[in-house]
Amino acid sequence: MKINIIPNEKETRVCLIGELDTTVTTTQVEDLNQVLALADKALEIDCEELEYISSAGLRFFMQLKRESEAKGGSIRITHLNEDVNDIFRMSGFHNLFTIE
Amino acid sequence: MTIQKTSPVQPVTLRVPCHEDQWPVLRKAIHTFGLCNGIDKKGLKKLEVAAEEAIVNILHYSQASEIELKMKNEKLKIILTLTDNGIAFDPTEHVPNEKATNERQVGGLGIHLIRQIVDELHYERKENKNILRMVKSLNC
Repeated sequence: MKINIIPNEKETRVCLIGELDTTVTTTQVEDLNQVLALADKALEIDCEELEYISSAGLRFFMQLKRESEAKGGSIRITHLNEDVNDIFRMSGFHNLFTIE
Repeated sequence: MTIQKTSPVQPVTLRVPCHEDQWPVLRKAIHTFGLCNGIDKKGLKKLEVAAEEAIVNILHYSQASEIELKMKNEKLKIILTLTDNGIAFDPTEHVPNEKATNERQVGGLGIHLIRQIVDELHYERKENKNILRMVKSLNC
C-alpha cells in the first residue's frame, strides 16, 4: 500500500492507496506509524484509491481514532468506494467515524 | 498454479506450511479460482476478506504445522474448506458479535465479518484437525 501525506494549514490529507490487509499491517508498520504520528491533527483520510480492507485494516483505523481522541485531533474519512464501504458498514465502523 | 477456464472449474487443493507469509499465496489462489468460476468482482473481494479472516486466524493462533485449502464450485456456490492440525477452535461457537460500537468489541471482528459475508459456515473437529467450511453463493 502507498500512503501520500499532504499537509495543509487547516487539515492534513492522508491518501491510502492500494490494500490495507494483514500483509500491510504487519510489513508496513513504519508507514502506518507515520499516519498515527499525525493523530493530534485534523485529518482527512482519503480512501478514493483504497481497494481492499480486512479487519486488520479496520484495527488500524480504530487505533488512529483512539490516538486522535487522546490527542485532540479529528478524523474524517472521504471517498470510500463501495466494496470498502460495505466492510465498514458490516463491521459497524460507519457508526464510529465521520464518513463523507 | 494453472487453472483451466472450463466451467465449472475442477476442485483445487493446496497445502502450505502454517506460516504468516502464506496468506498472499492462498489469497492469489482464491482470487484466481473465484475469477475462473465467474464470481463477480464485488463478491470476490468479500470472499477474499472472509478467507483472510479465517486463514490469518489459523496462521496466527492455531499452532498448526500445515494448512490445507480446498476450493470447489458446487451448484453455483463457491465452497472453501480449510483444514489445519492445530489446537481446536470452533469459530461457529464464538459468541455472536454485534457490530463494533466501541473499541472492546473489535476483538471478534474477523469472525463477525466472516459471518456477514458467507452464506454458510460449518465447523468440524475430526482426527485432531479443525475443518472449517465456508460457502458463498456465486450470485451475490
